Amino acid sequence: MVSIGVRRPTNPGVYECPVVQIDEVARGIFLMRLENQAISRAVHPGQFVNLRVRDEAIPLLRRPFSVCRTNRDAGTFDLLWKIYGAGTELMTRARSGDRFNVLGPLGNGFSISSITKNAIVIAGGLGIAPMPLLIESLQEKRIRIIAQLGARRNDELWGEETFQSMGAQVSCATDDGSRGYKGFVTTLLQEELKNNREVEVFACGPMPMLAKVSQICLEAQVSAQLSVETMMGCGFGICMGCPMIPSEGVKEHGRYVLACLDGPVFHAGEVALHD
Amino acid sequence: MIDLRVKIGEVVFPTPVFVASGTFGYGEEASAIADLSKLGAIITKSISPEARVGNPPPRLFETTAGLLNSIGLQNVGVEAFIKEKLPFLRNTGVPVIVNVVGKIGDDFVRVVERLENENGIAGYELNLSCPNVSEGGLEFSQTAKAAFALTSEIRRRTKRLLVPKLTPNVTNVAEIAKAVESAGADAISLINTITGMAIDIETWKPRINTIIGGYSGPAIKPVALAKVYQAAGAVKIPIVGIGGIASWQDAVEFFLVGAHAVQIGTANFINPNTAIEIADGLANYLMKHNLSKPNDLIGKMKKS
Repeated sequence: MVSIGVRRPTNPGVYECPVVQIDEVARGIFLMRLENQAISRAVHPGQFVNLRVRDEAIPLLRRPFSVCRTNRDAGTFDLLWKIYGAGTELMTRARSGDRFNVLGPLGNGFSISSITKNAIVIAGGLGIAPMPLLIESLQEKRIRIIAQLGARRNDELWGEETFQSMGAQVSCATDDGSRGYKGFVTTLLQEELKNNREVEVFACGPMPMLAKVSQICLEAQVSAQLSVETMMGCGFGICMGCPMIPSEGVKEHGRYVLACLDGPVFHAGEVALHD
Repeated sequence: MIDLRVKIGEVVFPTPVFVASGTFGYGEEASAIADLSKLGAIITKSISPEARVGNPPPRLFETTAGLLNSIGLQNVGVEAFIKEKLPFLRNTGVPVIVNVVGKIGDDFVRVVERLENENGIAGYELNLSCPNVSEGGLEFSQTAKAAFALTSEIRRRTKRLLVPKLTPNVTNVAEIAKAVESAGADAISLINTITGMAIDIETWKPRINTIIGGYSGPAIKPVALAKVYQAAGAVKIPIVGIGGIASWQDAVEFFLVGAHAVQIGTANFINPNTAIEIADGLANYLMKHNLSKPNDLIGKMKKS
């Protein structure tokens, strides 16, 4: 049995976090800065928090969000989202000074190997969310970063300037060609890997995109870590509601793996990636 | 001074607010966030003779103030439970009730017989809401006959607290409650989840893999309250009320219709401290009403 995911202790807490700021940073994409010293200090790139939208039965469950960025001196952390349903719609109505009940940090984030010298960070749509924090960590380790960002259209793309200012070499792809390459962001990855295989790939985005990234990297024999976007119940392993299918099969592996505890970051080839 | 202790069978529980099976894992998962030593009891994930991998995704879907699930009784099996999970649970210092499940009566017998050799178990909750293969797929607690037979089988094998957990998916829950009481149950817990469905109108597919799932959460509380009321009126043994409890106010309603204790389920997913906060809220409520113990509330509903 291949072990999938290393369940590192995350020592999460439940905190009432004041909203510092909310901005619509791209069409329908919101960035919220919350204040909490503990989460800001403890969170690793790729980890998430589970946020209670309000103290009511509707919406019932918490909503999981990757931590986008932190400011440890100010004791803040940022979350990025787009309106997907009633919960995320309500979140956009929050104002500075409002509070959210936040549980975290949770999950296994990206692991950065000491031998990595070059990284490709590839994000599709809201998969951009965990990447600023990751890029900061890669920068600290003096790893050269190529960032590839995909969105449906120009006005839904966020992060290009942020990533450039952080020292990454950024290229973009949009479905309609309104910015950068017209087509899938995974095509940019495929092209890059033709002449550059001494890299580690870090990806986040919708399942079909992750499936493609995984396939490309396995074929090119390039190590890849993928952060999955999936529905969760509790976020810390008690509901068993977020199973992923191990690539070798559930029976062969002995169990489903849980996106919250074993992930949300998996290595390419560990779990089946489909909707 | 408020004394929240309740005695059910021979077991004294520190508070009457427990965490329900399948909503608290094996305890350990929540221990970083909740102080388990303040719980009234921990009811474990359902334990079967062999490990079960559970159902494929999607397993959860949120509805209006409710939750549909089809986890499929994923569990590590009785041997791994004893080796890997029980030592932690034992150390919490609160009563541990093992929820037992099986496809045929013999599965329940195997699990209980194996656990009888182990210390640190206060009792067994029988998950009678699993389809009974030998009865053509009807849940064990859908017929009084099957519920009676299975409860009797287990009663013969243990002196520990025995609590059959009943399904709400029946016409007459009082009849099933009477059957398990006459089979020697020490208490009855109810309700398990209600059967429910949801459909994606864009893809025309069901929202969860098994099509029909178990419906829980605040939305089902009125249904649960009615079933608890009916069961409490039919039997003399204590009732443990379950179903949509998310606040101490919800819990008080269950005591008033006849529950001796309550279990917190879906609310644990949002806040694993819910049971502890409800126990505190209950103590405050009793104090405000010049009452000294939960017993002063049980079945005290006034009929207009």
